[in-house]
Amino acid sequence: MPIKFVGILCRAMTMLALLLGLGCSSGSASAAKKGAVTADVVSTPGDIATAGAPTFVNDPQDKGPAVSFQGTWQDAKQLLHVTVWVHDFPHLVGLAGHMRYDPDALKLVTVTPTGVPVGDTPDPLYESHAIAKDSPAGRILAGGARFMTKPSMYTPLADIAVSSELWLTLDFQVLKPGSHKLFFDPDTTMARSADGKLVVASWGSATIAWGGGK
Amino acid sequence: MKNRLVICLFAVSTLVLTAASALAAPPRAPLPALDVQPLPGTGFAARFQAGRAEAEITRTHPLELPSPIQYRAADFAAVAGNPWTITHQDITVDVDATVPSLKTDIVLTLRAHKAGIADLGFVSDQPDTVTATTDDGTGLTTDFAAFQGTSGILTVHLAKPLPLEVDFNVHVSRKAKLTCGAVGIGLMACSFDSTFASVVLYDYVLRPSDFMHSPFPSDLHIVTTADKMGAAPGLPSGPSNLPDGRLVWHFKQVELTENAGFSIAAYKPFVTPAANGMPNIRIFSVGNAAANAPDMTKLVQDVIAFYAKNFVPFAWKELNLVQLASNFSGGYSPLSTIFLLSDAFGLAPTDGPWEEMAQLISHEIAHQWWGNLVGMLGNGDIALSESLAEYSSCFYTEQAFQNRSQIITNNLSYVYTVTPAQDMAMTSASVYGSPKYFDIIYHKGSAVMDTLRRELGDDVMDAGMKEYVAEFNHDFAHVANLRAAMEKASGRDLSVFFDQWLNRPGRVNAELASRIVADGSAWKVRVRMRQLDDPPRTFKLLITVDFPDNTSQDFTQQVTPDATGETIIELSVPQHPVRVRVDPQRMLVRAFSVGTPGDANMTGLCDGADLVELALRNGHKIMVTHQGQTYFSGDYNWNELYDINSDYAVNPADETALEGWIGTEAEAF
Repeated sequence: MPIKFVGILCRAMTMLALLLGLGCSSGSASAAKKGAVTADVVSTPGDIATAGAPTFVNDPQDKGPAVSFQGTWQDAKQLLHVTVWVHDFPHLVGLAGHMRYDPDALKLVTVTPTGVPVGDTPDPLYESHAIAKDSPAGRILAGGARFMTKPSMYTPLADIAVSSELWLTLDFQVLKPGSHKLFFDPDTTMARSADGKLVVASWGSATIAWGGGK
Repeated sequence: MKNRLVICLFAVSTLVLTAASALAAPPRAPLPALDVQPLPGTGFAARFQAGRAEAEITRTHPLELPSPIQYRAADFAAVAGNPWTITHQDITVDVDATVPSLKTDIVLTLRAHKAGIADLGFVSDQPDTVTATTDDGTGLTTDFAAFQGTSGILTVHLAKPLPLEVDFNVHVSRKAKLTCGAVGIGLMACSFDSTFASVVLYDYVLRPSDFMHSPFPSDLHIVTTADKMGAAPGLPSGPSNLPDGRLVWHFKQVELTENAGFSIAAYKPFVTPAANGMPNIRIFSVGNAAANAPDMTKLVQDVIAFYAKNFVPFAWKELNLVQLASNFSGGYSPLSTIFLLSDAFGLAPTDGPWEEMAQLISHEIAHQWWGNLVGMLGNGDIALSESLAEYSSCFYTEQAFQNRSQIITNNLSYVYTVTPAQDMAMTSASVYGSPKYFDIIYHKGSAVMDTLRRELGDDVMDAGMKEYVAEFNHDFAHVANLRAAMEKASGRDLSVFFDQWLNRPGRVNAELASRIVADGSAWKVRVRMRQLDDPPRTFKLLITVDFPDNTSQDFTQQVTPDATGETIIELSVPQHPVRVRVDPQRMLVRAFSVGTPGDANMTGLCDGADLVELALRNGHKIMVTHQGQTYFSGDYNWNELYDINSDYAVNPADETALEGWIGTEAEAF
């Protein structure tokens, strides 16, 4: 029962946050590493998923430049914690895409972007920025790019190699039983290198499956 | 199948949002122009100065003679329409560089076409002493009336009228102290230092003041010390020896022209004989600069070949390039000769300033066609000289260096530094009075001619230029004659083009918006252009659509606005675009704003992709502050659509501004 209460409170807070426009944010940061998150599939039972906690199955992108999802079920918060990773780009200035989800099945509680790309050795002449905004619900407008901190018309922009960097951190509530997709709209994904060329990359997806509650 | 689902979802959301944001927003005005000058010390500023200096030459030609000025068709065949003509001048110049002073002895050969010509007026520098005689030594009276600086009108009074249609010689000897200041703020009229003694913009040659043109052949004799050499237009010969040990260098100008100039230095001429349609090319340079004369010759040949191919073959037998002191500040291109500041010499193609030097030289070489082969007839026709020369230079550098930096910088310079109060039509007879004369005639003029090329296509444009030269070579023309030649070549009525671009000041000011909508298995790009000026302009517009697979598709669309100035363009594309670029090569003289704030990449939505595109353009700016003063920096990579906070710079502040617009969608149209 207390757990149920927490869940309701969380939803209320989430709605309030969304109403206040707190669901969108932007950030600049140094790189976090993919290894910080390990679990792809979580099956810890929670209050909502009595018949079984939501499962998170990603579409692994092991090769080449890619964007991948990872997820864990946070039982205490009754939230699905999702991270989006950028990895294996030999040349990258920035990337962007519209991340889609079914707002009737999933409720976005928070989305936090982390500045990408940074590279293994952060360059003081650059600062990486990222944006993410759920607009409208079900479509997260995400982007990240590196900017010269002291730009000059005489200094060409340089791209950077990215082995693995955290781009987006999201928390979802699961509202409906069923199989729910997280994916990037393929018509909106793009990544560019410093020469302005589009970098072909694999944009992963994930499936959240839930059998429903009591 | 998955993709289809995504497409449908996207389309639905677009429609919903469109309905929600259907309220019309007021047009967003493009950035205004600022009254600023080029940043000192940059190559652009140097070229700007050179061009502006050249402009000053034009302004001091007899265009500004006291009214009434009788403009006459100066078709060489029609020179007889003037009351009298100069059929030859034999000129001997003797400089005393220590004063400095110039002694000029001229034998004028004249021919009267009307009876009663007894008073001959000439444009002349102000002489300290002057004598005039006839062949038999009979003295003639003279008087001088100053009207502008050291220039004025020298009138020679004959004892009796000139005989009709018979050559008659008048000997005029003058001596004058030289005032070697810059002409206006531009080129030095003359210059004397330990290396160079040059007199190029002084009115030591006599030209008629009573009518506009009387081109003549000439022989110039330059007296120098034994260790120096003279350089001037025409075929050189000599030297001859004077009894006092000095030398005389001879230059025969067989062409009819009114231009002149000479320089004295320890030149080491590098001569390349005429061949394959090229003239005899002589590089008169000094010291170590002479080592790079072959490189300069190769550039000159390349430029001539380009113009010969696109216009008509080079018209003269000679082309002399003469090095002057650095304080000359630029270039000056009388018939068959180019005088250039010292810095233009001694460069190798691998040197940084080579491209800028090529811009200057190709402009000056183009004057051998525009301004010399075809001259301008009236005050409102300066575009036929300077606009065409600068356009030709941009045309050349675009293919030679495979970039449009020169024409785009010119375009930006006019659009963002000429305020409406300073602006004038290119064909205005008083355009010289604008403080932004150079920006209007050179920069806008070259951009407008570039636009005409895009309107007509390369082949028709070339055919039009050939038609123009064919009719007006060795002649003088009005802008209307150029238009007529272009109309003849194209079979089109170009009155709208010439009226809106040459006969009317200003630029296209337009707000852009774009939407991408699903169209079955394909997509449509809808672009809306709202012109903010009345009347709006019509033109061809290039729109480039970029796709995720690194391919692009170009669409050339005719913009014919409705009464409100609005035009809607719809383009069918096979893939969802990642970017829509409107006039990406700045083929129009225009300033754009984007109607969907933050949607710099014109996909109809301000999103993360705009952030990425912004990063690629970060750091580019067209205005810089130096010692508290704002200057135009000429950065051709600046793009106003990415200048979200409207400060003439794409910088981190635009990223902050963009974040505030994320999620903003194009309104319905």
